[in-house]
Amino acid sequence: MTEQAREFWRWSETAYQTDDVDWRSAGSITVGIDVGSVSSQAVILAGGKLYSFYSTRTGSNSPDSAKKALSGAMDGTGMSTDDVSYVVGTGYGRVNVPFANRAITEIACHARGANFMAGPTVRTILDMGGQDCKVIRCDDKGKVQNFIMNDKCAAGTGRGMEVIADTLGVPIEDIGRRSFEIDSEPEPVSNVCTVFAKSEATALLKAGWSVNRVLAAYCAAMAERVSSLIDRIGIERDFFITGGIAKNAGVVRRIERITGVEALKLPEGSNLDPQVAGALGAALFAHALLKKEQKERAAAGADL
Amino acid sequence: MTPVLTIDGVRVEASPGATVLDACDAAGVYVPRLCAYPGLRSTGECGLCYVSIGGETLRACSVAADTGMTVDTTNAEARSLRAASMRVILAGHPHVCLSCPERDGCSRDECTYNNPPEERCCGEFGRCEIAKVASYVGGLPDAPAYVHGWRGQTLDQTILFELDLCVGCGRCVAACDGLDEAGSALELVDAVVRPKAGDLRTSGCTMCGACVMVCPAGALTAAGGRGDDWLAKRRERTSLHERVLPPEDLLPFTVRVIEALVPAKEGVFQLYGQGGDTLLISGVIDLRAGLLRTLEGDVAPRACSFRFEEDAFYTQRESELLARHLQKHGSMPQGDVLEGLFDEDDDL
Ligand code: SF4
Ligand code: SF4
Ligand code: FES
Repeated sequence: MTEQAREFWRWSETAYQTDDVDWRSAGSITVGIDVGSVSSQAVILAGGKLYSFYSTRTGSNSPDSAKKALSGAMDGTGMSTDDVSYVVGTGYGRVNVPFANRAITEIACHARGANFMAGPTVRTILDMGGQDCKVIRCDDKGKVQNFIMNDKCAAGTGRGMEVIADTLGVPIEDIGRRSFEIDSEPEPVSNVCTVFAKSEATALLKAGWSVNRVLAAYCAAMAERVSSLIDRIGIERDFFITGGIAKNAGVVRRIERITGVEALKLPEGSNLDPQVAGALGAALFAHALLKKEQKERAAAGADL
Repeated sequence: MTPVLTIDGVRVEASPGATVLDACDAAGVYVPRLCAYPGLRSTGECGLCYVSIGGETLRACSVAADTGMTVDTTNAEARSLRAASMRVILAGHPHVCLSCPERDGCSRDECTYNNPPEERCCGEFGRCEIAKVASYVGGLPDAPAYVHGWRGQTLDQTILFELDLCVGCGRCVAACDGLDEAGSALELVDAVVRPKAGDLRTSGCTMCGACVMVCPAGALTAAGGRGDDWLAKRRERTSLHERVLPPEDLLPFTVRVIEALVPAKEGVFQLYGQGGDTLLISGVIDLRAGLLRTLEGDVAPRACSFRFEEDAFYTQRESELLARHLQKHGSMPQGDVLEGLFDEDDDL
């Protein structure tokens, strides 16, 4: 890619910090870091309450991505890594969180994070990450009960959508809206494979399709693929979507159409980002683990 | 007619006249057993081979395989019944060494934990079948210690009888029976073996060695170097089937085994507790370090054995194995660090 070329596939980095919580008097700072193949997130809890988060693209060097996400979440708060009592790492790149006290599977973290974010009524979670797609079923506490993931293929994932964004020169934030600006819904493209996506999209444009129509066909194809995955372990209300593609209405609304189940929306004005569900779950586990350790230490102290 | 049944979701054709246990053996699905031995009739009394057949928990060695049966060898009730039977068996057989953390490489002459010699394991330690089955079934730690009385040790020709070790499984009686017209030279009296007519020769023993080869308890041995030679020669001539033992790739969860066999490489390990319950599925960058760390963690006291596989994409592999586990059991592995982290309680 040349210097001037725009990177259409890039999601903007997201950051959040609240002034409602004073971390210095909060008692404990716990952190969850989710290093995925495409993006990395850090969530900071102060006294078990959400304090800040940051989401950034995963670079080729994962330990750097973990640090970058964490320093992004700490930026401007006056907090330093010395103030952190417990860190849980998760995601495919989780071993690259060298400063983590513990690593926990992303399946558990996503369910826990989704439960916190969208409430205890959530039973089915669809996580569309950068390079994989998972469906998780959980109980009212966010405990995982069933799980399935796509086979080793990036089609139907964030990476696949990025290829399309790049090929068509459409910023990824606009894909959802534009995929509905069409006269009639086209047939889904036959092939969502990222390897063929480029040439197939180009061929459709040559055949006279509008860019929006091609986008619609791609979103539809991806929605079909994901829906058939959901079908394999069944969908139970409430249904919640996490991961980067949760922000792509073009895919989400089509999934709702196919499954006949509307996905839970975060309340208007919510500061949460469905992309940080994994890191949020990890941070909540970090908080619980810290409390457990403190209790054990207190009990051991009482024994002496 | 060939019975066709489903064992753990897989279609299996059994040979006519086979028991469900035989069918499991044919399918390569291990079910623990002590009184049963392939090709020999069993007393059906050890109570280790419980499986669920069409929803009913039954002893696999005592049910004829039949077309249309659905067998689940991993059924929870079956496994807890097996463990209960194992505790009964171990109450009558020395076993303290089996659950000892120092068990690998211990000479059993001096005991770090001061277990009295009468409670320690016998000379078959390390190759004993009961030990292998017990570590698979579980039930070791809470079985009451057995005090060896060293009563009734007799050397009858080459065969050494150690009556305190006999668990009364009856395999030897069955192995001896049917060798010739005379019937078995051995019998069980009050669940302990003895030659029918007082000593082997007058009982019609031909010194074929079959009883020694099938004994799972070390109660019948051909002790010493001479005995080993004797047995080796007889083993060649025997028409006995191979013993069916718990799957080998399950390794005992001990420092020694981990250090000797597990590479410091990326991969996934699975940790099992009593009765083969999966306690943990974990993808790690260094298998050896990960297992050694786990050995010091909370799950260690519940863990009996483990299995590992090298895989550079260990997080992905871990997810695959977790997916398989969840689809089967509907919850995460029971030894997960996450247990007990879900209950909301007030902040610090
Ligand atoms: S040696 Fe052979 S004949 Fe003698 S008791 Fe054992 S099985 Fe029977
Ligand atoms: S001597 Fe061995 S094979 Fe015979 S009944 Fe006793 S334990 Fe079983
Ligand atoms: S093997 Fe079935 S009861 Fe002993």
